[in-house]
Amino acid sequence: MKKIPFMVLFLLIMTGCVQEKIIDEIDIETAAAFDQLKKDEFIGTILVQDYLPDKTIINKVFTTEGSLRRDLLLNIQKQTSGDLVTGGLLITIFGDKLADKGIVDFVDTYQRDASIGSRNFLATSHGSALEILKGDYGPQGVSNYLYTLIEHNINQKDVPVTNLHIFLRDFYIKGKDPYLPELRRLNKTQVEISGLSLFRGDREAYVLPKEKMFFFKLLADRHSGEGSFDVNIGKGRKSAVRSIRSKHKYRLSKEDRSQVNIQIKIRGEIREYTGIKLTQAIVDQIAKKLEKEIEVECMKLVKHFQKLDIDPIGFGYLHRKSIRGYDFEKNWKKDYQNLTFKINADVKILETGVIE
Amino acid sequence: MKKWIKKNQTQNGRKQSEWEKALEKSKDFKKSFHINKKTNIPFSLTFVTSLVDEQIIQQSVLPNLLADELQTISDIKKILPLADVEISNDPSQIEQKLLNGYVMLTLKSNEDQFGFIAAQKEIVRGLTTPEIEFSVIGPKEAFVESIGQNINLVRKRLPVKELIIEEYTLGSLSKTRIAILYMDGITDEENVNTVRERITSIEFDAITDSSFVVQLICDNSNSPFPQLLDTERPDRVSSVLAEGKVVIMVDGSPHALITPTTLVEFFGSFEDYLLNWILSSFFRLIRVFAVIFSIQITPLYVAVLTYHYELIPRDLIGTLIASRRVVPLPPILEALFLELTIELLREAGARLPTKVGQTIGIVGGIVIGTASVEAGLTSNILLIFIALSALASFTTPVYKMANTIRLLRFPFLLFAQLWGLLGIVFCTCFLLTHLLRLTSLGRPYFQPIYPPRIKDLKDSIIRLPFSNQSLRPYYLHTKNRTRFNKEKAHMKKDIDE
Amino acid sequence: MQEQIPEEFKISPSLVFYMVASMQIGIGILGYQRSVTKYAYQDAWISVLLAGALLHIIVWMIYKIAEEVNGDIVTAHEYVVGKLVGKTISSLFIVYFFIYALTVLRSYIEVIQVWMFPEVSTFWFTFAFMVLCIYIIYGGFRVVVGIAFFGLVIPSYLFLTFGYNIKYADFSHLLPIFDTSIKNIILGSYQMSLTFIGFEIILFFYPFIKEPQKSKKWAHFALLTSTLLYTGLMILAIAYFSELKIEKSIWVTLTMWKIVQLPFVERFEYIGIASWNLVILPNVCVSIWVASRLIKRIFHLKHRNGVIIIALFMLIIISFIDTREKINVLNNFTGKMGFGFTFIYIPLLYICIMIAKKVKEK
Repeated sequence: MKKIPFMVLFLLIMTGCVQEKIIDEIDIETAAAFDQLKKDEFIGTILVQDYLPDKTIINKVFTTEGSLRRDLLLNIQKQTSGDLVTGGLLITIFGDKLADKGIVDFVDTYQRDASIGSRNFLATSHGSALEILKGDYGPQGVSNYLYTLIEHNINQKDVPVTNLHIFLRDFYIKGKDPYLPELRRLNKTQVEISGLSLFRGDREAYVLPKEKMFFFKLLADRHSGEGSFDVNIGKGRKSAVRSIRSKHKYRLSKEDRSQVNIQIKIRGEIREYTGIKLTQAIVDQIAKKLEKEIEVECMKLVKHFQKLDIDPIGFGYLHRKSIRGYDFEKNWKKDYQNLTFKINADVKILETGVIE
Repeated sequence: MKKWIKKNQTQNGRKQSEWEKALEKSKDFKKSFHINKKTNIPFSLTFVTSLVDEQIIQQSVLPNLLADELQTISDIKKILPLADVEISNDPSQIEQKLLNGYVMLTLKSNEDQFGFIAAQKEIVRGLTTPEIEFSVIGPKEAFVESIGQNINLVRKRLPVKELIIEEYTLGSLSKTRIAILYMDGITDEENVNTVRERITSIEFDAITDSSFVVQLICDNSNSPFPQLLDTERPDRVSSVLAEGKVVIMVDGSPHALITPTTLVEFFGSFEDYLLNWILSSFFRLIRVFAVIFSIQITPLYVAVLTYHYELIPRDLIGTLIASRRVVPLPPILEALFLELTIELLREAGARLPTKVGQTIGIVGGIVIGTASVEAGLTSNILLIFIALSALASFTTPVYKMANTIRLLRFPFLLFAQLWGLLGIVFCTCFLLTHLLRLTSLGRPYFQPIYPPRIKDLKDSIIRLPFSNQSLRPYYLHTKNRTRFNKEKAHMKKDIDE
Repeated sequence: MQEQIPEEFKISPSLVFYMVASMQIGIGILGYQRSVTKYAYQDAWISVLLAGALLHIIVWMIYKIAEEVNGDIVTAHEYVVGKLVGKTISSLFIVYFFIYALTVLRSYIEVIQVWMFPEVSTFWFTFAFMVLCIYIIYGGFRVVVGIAFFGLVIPSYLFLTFGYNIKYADFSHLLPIFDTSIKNIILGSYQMSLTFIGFEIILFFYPFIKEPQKSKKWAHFALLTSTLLYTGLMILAIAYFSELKIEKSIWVTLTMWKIVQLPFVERFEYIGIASWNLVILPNVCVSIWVASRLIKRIFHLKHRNGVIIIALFMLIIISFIDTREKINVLNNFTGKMGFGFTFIYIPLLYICIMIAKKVKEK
């Protein structure tokens, strides 16, 4: 009788085991790229980072063709020595042709697969996505490099906040379209963020050039942290203004429901000034100039979005939450085209650096 | 007279009783015959030489017996300058008395009456400093192997009549003296009764140490957890007595047992009371952290590396993979190998003399560790974890608990291999249940965490200042809960008054 | 007719808080947002609050019933309909709690299978779980309550991690407030049944409470805690996701964990799921305790044997529930059953007791 518990424990250990995924015996997919090949056929590229005992990183790229994402994975399994697992994915890049066709099928598998985290980055590429993964960007490995590239541009520069979660949230919310950063390979060792892909549904509709990203970030991020912009106040006097924090507010005008009042507040500092003396008057002038510029540029942006019938800012959602019982499906398409905007920027320069 | 002696010697066979026959086989049994010089009354002294102090016999007993007037046996009380002199006519006592170091005196005139003179030889090791519960500050006295000496050490610290000492003799062969100490009017009568019952119902032949008693009276003998706290510090004993606990002392053991006890007490050292409360709370929290760390870190390593690669931070995964690249063993075997190595080193160090043990520890640790990493048997990251967890396991102040903690990681390791993190949580559930089921003297072992007694937390994993300790712990159900008058202790003056 | 519980096995009134709260918080909380938002959209949190508020009345009734008969539900049944019929009705609750434990355990295993180990064997996991439950229940009621205590206290750190979601949350998703019709809000509240049930165990362990009068406030406090927790998580989920995304996720709370990142943990949901074992444990083992105790009260079988029988049944039946579809059916059934018991049967019993009292007084 006394032996029974031990036998049961033994049985449990023998049969209750689950499949092992020992870290040095699996191939962890850290980056993926998808390109359109023909109609309904894709090239899938998967990047596996391999670590040698002396801590150098080898980027292994596997490429295959297929018509379903699962197919691609299965095909690549045949090329890898270890079990290919997706839990370590950092970034996924969609080729421009594919982005034009729609990426929802790919993204759908991403939210279905429980092992894929929400902090993944999605990006589009200018040209072939495969080529970006085939580059060599230094000792930290391709996928780590691409991940930190986007991460730091979000935290410190002009790229609005994005990741898998935000893409899906924007995609599924009624009255808002998602956006993704666009990567471009400059050469074998360099890659840059070349702009923002703005989507209509799951299809890429417009690529925002990188010069405009500062204004887009002001419009898109509820609270954006840092970002910088050059202000030219004439006579060769230029200054770089760095935004410390910014805030925006959207309101439907009380009198006219088809008018959106946009208020943008920026608190910034002057980092660089090429004139002779930076007086308070000049600081005020810079602020005024920046306000003006923001108002003009943002207006251009929203008008342009309206013309393209894309809504990355979420004016449709603004309507839904501001107007009780708003029939979105029926009215929005018409209402968007009739929408007018009023932008009011408020810039305050808090600091001018450590010298006067 | 000579005849009498002769008669006694020759008639030995006829008159000898059972005990005498048995004792005569031993070389240290001795019977000597003398004649009083004044009254010419012959008498004999019987004793076990190895148990009695011959100096007492030679200086206090024999000269007086020979020189002073000895008429009847009751005279010995007058003539002997010793306090413990008894007269009895019960022959069944003889054996026990002789074996307890008494000298038996019989007069020729009346052989049915015996005088027992206490002349025990006390071979006592001198007081030493506590070795297991060493503290940098505070008293440096530790218990020794003599119960009389030990009780003296406690009495000295609690010179009040309320300190009650009950004594029992147990063990069919060892006849060990066991004392129960408690404070009358403070300690819960029920607790004392339970201890009394358990002690008296012990059935065992030779009780050589208090650890025997622990195992014989604990609530659940199938638990790896110690259920009575043993200590070698008289100061600790006196302080828990004042708190209202019961202390058991065993003759021949330098460790007193404290009961009822709780899990958290095993992570407090006496030094905590000697330090400022902020420091001691910090140290206690460190120890609790060390215990959790020590039990969990290797199983976590196994679980994460075997099943949950997703959990590893981006920057760390490279280091981990690189360190495991050359290791041919799966993480579980790797971990077991190193854990067993550490256990071997510890065991070897404990068995060898101190100086050799230290050398073995250092040489073994460094050589085996480095060599196995270089040979590619283990990863260097695991080596760090194992070394840290071994270190952490030694922070527990009570040696017996530290041993338990070292053992606990093995089931955790198995479960981690079985179901990863889930297995670790599973094993934690089992551990929690086990601790919840455990009792010490019928009182829950997990107090004051469960059943939650917020007020008792003042001296558990943290220790609040003495001014907050005016009430005795609730779980001891003491008769008198107040230790001191809080109002008086708390008189605060206003600023600048 | 009523057995007396010795004083040393009774629990102090404040522990009722842990019993009730840990029994309520279980498997439902991992994904209740979905079914509620289906009806009440961005006003779903109002549904949760409403359901929580209504439950206070039920708890009040439970205490009234228990006080009136000074005992548990078996005593109450015997008080109203006599011994034989009473016992027959009471025996239905063995099945009730069995199904409750089954639902919780199976749903949890499903979570493990989908999120962690697709290969984990339902049978062996249940087996290990049952061994654990038996070990707990053999320790007596005190240990069962102890597990309820730790099942609530230890995992409570998990709720701190939702702070990460606040960073990504947009609370304007809650606008416009009260845009949903009353009917839909109530329908949403109805969907909360599975998530909220569990507090009715008071009616089963009432005789074990020391000074039950004092435990009332703790029961209500527990209910308030779980209501606020559910409401908070609901608001956070709506703010963090969009309604359509909530509708797509089966385990909304778990999906929310996917964003959490600690310096030493890249993905938190795995730790969350594993820790959830401790949250599930009181649910299952208290239910089994209640069921086996009912067996003892009704059929006079030894408590020890009752537990084994239930564990065996659990092992056999759980193997038959193998698809998402079946688990869903089971979940819905348990939700309806819980709703029926708490919102229909308890008020009914309350009225019956009041009538019976009037009759007996005459």
